Amino acid sequence: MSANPPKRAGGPRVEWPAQRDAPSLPRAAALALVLLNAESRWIHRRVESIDFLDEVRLRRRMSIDFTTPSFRDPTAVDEVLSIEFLPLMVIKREPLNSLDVRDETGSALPVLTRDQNAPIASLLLQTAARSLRRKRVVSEIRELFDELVGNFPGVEAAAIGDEERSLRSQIALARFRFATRRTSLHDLWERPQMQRWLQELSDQFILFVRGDFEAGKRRVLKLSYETTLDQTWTSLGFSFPFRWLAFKLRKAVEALGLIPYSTGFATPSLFDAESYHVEVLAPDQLIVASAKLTRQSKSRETGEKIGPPRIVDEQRSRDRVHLYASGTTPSAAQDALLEAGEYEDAQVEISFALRMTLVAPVLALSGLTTGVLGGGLLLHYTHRTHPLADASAALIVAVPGLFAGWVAPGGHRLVQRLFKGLRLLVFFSALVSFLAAATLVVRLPAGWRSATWQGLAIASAVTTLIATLAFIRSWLCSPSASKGHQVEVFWASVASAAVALALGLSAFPVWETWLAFAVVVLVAMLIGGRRSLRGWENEP
Amino acid sequence: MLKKKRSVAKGVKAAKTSRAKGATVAISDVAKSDVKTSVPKFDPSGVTDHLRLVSRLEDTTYSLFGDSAEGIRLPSNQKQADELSEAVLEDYFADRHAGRVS
Repeated sequence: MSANPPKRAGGPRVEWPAQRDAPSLPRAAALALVLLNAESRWIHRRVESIDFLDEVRLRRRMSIDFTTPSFRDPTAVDEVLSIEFLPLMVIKREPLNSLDVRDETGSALPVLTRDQNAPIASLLLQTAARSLRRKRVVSEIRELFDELVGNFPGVEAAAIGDEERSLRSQIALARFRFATRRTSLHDLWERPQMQRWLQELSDQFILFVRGDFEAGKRRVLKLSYETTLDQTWTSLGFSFPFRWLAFKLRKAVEALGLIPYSTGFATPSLFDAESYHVEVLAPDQLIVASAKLTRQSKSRETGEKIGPPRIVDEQRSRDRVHLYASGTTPSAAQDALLEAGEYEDAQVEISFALRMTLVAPVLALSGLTTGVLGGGLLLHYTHRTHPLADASAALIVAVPGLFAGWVAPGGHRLVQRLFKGLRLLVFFSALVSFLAAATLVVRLPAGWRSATWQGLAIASAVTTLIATLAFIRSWLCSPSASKGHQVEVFWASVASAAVALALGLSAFPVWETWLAFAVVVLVAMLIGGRRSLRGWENEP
Repeated sequence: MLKKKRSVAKGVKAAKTSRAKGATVAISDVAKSDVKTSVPKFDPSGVTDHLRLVSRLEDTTYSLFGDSAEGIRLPSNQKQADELSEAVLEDYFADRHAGRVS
């Protein structure tokens, strides 16, 4: 007895998408090969825009400006082939986070899935093999192509994990690479064009976008996805645990704002269009200290770097950087690379620094604390006077600590990370001023108070020195256009610190400090009043 | 207590045996050599080593590196690539004409 129901003629018939697409796949494979073989002839411009979402996450947006070429069938008069599956680029065989592809109108475009991509990639290899050897591709080689690109028809995707797919791809590639001489596999591997496609598709796939791409029409597609920064670090000559210590030391120096925060990202698109642009927007409160677009030669066998990187474009001290390159793939250079067994990789190296407006309050606060303590000690030793040992004097001496809450960076996690060390300085300055104030309200043995103040003054001076160096670093990295505004912020911070310093020193019963306090407040009021008047004059 | 005495006795015996066998280093010898050690003279190579260490620390670099999802295209001889493209298109159109593909 048969378990299958009898077939009925003329019954309802379902055509699944895979069945409907199957006839158009050979065309997609042939056109993909032709298009990807000459990307710079139909893709005019790739513009990448990089946003730092937080400390480690990037959003990469790419606009691709292209004109679809015309494919005319020589056997049919005036028939131009339509392109339904457009190969936008070759992508690493890894999951893409938050992938989004849109056309000029903002409408989302469908992207083929892994299981839809793999048959086209396998067909592409079959087409190339047949055209190169002028022979039919035997089933054994077809199966190897399937293994290489991860095309497993009739097998559920879940049945073969990512690791197994990757392993099977590498085994298939190895079978071509180490094939015995005078075999079909060896013959295919020895052909440079075939070898290139085999290598590229063994760990990458083609990103196909589905749509109606009319021949000869200029289009702009926008693609975006998220990626993360991986921490890689090198330390010349250090071994564990010194490497770890050197790494931590570097991070600490970076967090104090003494050196810019450096990062980078790969930009292979540099070579895949007539011209390539990349824009990086610094998060608020940060500036791009420097940005370089570089290309690096690497060994095709081992992937190791060969020679120093070459700088294609470079910019310094900007709020937003725009790096640009064109004509990066002349055929002569490609041939030279081929002969040398090399390929080129491109990347953007970028370093961020804190804006002066963020560092100035830290400098003002630590300078104020040092000023109150140092000034107090100076008055103590020159005028033989002692601070008023009461609650009001303690409150005055603690003034710098009260300003600590005013120094706070924005909510961006990258800014918070870069400000981490300076935040500690702020906390330390506040602590020092509170300790100094505490010595005024607590009864101490003779000489202890001045000794404590000396120790605190020295510690605070070190803090001020670090803040000063961080401020100088920010100043050097700042764009000259925005320096004017930042200088105003700096002087405002200095004026506030001076007022607070005079107030702090008024804890000492010396008439000069009272006079200084009155003068500083008067000057601050005059400056503030003048600025307000200027502001009114500028009002429309 | 008895165990401790035994272990000391064993240690002494072992030391004597090692000396008898002509061992070059015994505990007492090490102690003597330590006593003999004089204050080392100023050695400029130490300063050089220190400077080298500082220089290495400055060279210490690390970065947070963002990879691109985009794959790497290997270099190719454009003439050969064009020839392959032409051959592929020719074969495709031949198949299409023969009705083997759409």
